[in-house]
Amino acid sequence: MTKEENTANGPGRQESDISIKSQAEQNSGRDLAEEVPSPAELETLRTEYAVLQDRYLRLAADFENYRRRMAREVSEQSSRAIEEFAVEILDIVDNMERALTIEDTQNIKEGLEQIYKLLSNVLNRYEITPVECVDKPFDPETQEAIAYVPSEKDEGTVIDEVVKGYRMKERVIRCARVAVSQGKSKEE
Amino acid sequence: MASEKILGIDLGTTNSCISIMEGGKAVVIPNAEGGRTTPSVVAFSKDGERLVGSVAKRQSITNPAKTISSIKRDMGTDRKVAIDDKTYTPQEISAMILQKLKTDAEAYLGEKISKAVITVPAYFNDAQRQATKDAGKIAGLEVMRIINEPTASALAYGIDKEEDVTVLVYDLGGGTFDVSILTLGDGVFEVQATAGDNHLGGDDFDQRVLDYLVEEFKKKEGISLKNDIMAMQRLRDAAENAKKELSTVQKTNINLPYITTDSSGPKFLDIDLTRAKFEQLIEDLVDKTIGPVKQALDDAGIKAAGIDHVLLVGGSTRVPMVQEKIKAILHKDADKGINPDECVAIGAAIQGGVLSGEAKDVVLLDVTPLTLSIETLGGIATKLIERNTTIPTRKSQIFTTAADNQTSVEIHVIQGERALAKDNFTLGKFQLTGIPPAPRGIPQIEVGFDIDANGIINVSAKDLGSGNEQAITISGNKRLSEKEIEEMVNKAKQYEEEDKQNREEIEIRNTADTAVFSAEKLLRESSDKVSEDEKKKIEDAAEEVKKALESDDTEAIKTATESLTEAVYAVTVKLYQEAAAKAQAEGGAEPTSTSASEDDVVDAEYEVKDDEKKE
Repeated sequence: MTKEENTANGPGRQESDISIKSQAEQNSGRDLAEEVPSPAELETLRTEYAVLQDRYLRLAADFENYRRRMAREVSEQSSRAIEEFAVEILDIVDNMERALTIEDTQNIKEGLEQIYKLLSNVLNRYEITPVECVDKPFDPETQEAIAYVPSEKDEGTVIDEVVKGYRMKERVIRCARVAVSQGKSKEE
Repeated sequence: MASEKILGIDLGTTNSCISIMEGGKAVVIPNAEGGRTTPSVVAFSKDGERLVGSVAKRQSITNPAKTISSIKRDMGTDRKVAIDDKTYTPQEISAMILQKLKTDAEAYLGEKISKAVITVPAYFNDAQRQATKDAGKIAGLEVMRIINEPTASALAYGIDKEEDVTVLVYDLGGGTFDVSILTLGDGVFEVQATAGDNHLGGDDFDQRVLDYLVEEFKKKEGISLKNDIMAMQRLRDAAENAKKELSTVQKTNINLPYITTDSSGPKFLDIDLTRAKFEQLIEDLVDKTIGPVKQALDDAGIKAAGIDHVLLVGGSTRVPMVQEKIKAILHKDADKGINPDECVAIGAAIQGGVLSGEAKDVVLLDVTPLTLSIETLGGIATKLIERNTTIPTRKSQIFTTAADNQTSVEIHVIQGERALAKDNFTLGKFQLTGIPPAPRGIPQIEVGFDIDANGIINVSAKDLGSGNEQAITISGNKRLSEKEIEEMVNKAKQYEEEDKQNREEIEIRNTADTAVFSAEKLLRESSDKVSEDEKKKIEDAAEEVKKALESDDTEAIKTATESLTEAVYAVTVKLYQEAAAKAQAEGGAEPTSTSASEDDVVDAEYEVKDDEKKE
C-alpha cells in the first residue's frame, strides 16, 4: 500500500495556498492604510467590478458554448466531407452491380479493368496517390517493414510491396507494407 | 492569468499520450503525425538517426537490435541498453520518448513547455518513480509531480470532487493489465491495493482472432497461411479491425479476396465472425483478469459492494465481454464518457492545471438543464436557449402577431424538451400590450432571454414599432430538481416521434392558415389586376383549404394548401411580370413566403417569420 504523497486536486492544499496569498495581500493593504478610497470612489469601483465580472462570466460562457458548437460543426463537416466521397464511390458500386448481373465470364476482366480505371480517377481527383517504394531505400516515414529477408538487392532496399501505401496530398494516409532486403548474406 | 502551462503525460508501456488544460478543459494533443497516442518505441537507424514513435515501430523488424520498445518495464533497474558503442539507461530511453512528446506539444501549442506531470503505475516503487522523474529531467522537463495512473483516471472523471469514495480502476491496455483500488478521503487518493498481469492485453485478443482465421481457412481450403507473410499481414490487420467492430455490432465479415493462390487458382478468404464466437475465443483471457480484481478486493479488505466507482481504462475495455465480466463481479456499471485510451493523460493534465493555478482561474459555470422556449402559434414550443447551454447567456428573436389588428401578445415562458408548450413546464407568463393595430405579420416583437450566472432568467418583450416593453424575472425557486429534469428529458425522448408529428401537423395548419391569409390579401390588394377567372380559382382553392382546416385530415390540408399556393403563384408570377414591365415594384412578395414553412428544417432566423404568436 502506497500512500500517494502527491495529492490530487486536494482542496486542503489549494486552500492553504490561497490563505497565504490573502495574508500577504492584507499586509500590503495595511501598509497603504492611509489611502482609504472615498465612498463615492468605492461605489464606482464596485459598479465597475460588477460590470467587468459580468462581462468576464459571459465571455467565459460564450467560449464554452462556442467550443461546444464548434465541436458539433466539426463533426457535421467531417461527415459531410465523407458524403461527397461516398457519392463518387456509389458510381463504382453501380458498375460493380452491373458486372455481377452478367453471366458472361469472358468480358468480366475487361469490365473490371474499366471499373478500376473509374476508381483510379476518383482517387486522382482527391489527390490520393500510391507511395512508390519497390527498389527504393526503405523509408519508415511512409512504409512499414513486415519482413526482412536476404536477397540480391542491397541491404535496406524495398524488394516487395505487400500492401500498397497511399498519400492524400502530402499526408500519408496508409503506410505501405513492405519486405526489406537483408542484403546478400545473413551476417548483418 | 495562470502561470506557465503544465503538460500531462501518460508514459505508457506500449503507447503514450499527452494532454493539456485549454480554457479550463483538458484536451489531448495530437502528435506530429496526427495520432492521439504515440507508440513508446525508440530506434536508432543505421545512419545513427534517432527515431521515436510510429516511425521507430515501422522499421523495427529491419533493425531489431537497435529498436527499443516497452522500456517502461525496465525503469528503476540497472539494466542498460547497448547501441553501437554506447549504452543507455532506461531513463535515457524514456527521455527520448518524452522529448518527442514535448516537441510535439510545443509545435501544437506554439509555446515552450518546460513543466510536466507524468503518470506511473500505482505499483511503481520509489526507484521506478525516481527513474521516471529523471527521464523527465533529461528530456528538459521539470516534473512537477509524479502521479499514479489510476489516480489520474479518477481525476479525469472528476471523482476528486466527491467525498470518501472507493474507486476500482481496471486498466487493460495493449499488453499490460492493472487493477487498482483507491480510496479518497480529505481530497487525498490513497492506493489500497494493486494487482495485475504484466503480459496480458488487447494484442492477445488480436492473436486469438488471427489464429482462428488461419485455422478456419485451413479447414475450408486445406491451405496453411502461416508462412505466407503477405497473407498473414492482411489477416493481422483484419483481425484487429474485426475485434474493434465487434464492440459495436453482433457480427462482422472478414473478407480478403485473393488471399493466396494454388494450382486451382486464386483463393478468397470470407469468414463471418459473430460476437459470440469472438467471446468464445477470448473468454479465458478475459477470465484471467478476474483473479487480479478479486485479489485486489481481498488485499484492500473491501467487498464488491463497497466500490463506489468503477473506471475502465485502456482500449481493450471497449470489448463488451470485458465490461460484462466486470459488472458480473462488482454488480456495478462503470463510469462512462472519457476515451479509455486518453483518460490517464487527461487526468495528468488536470493535475497540471491544479498545480499551475489554472484550475483556480477557471470559474465553474452552470449549464441550463432544460431548453427554454416560448409558446408560438398553435401551441408550439419555440426554442430560444437550448438545454446544456453554458450560462450566463442571452438570446433574442423577433416574433410577430398572428391576427390582424392584434394589440397584445402573451409571452408564455416554458422549460422542457417537448415539442408542444402544454407538455412542458411553465415558468411564467406576461402580456405585452399596446401594440399599434396592424395587419398580422407586420409588428416586430423582440423577445429576449437573459440568464445570469445564478440561473435567474430575465425575459423581456419589446414591440420595436412602439417601443413598448414588458419583462419578468424568473428566480431560482421555480427551478426543477435534478430528478424532475431527468424525468422531463426521458419523457421527451419517449415522446419524440409523437411530438414531432404533432408539431408537423400544427405547422401544416399554420402554413395553410397563412396561405389563405396571403391569398385573400392578394385578391384584396390587386383585385384590379386579377382576372375574374383567376380570382375564382384562388377563391375556390382558399375555400378548399378552409374546409380542410375544419377537419383533422392533415394530408388534405397539405394538398389543399399546395393547390392554393400554386394558384396564387400563377397569379403572382403574372403580376410580377406586369410590374416589371411597368417598372413598378410593390407588393406581391407575400404569397411565396408560404412555401418557406414547407421545409421541415428551417433556420431559427427564418422560422421566426412564420411562427406567429397568437394571443
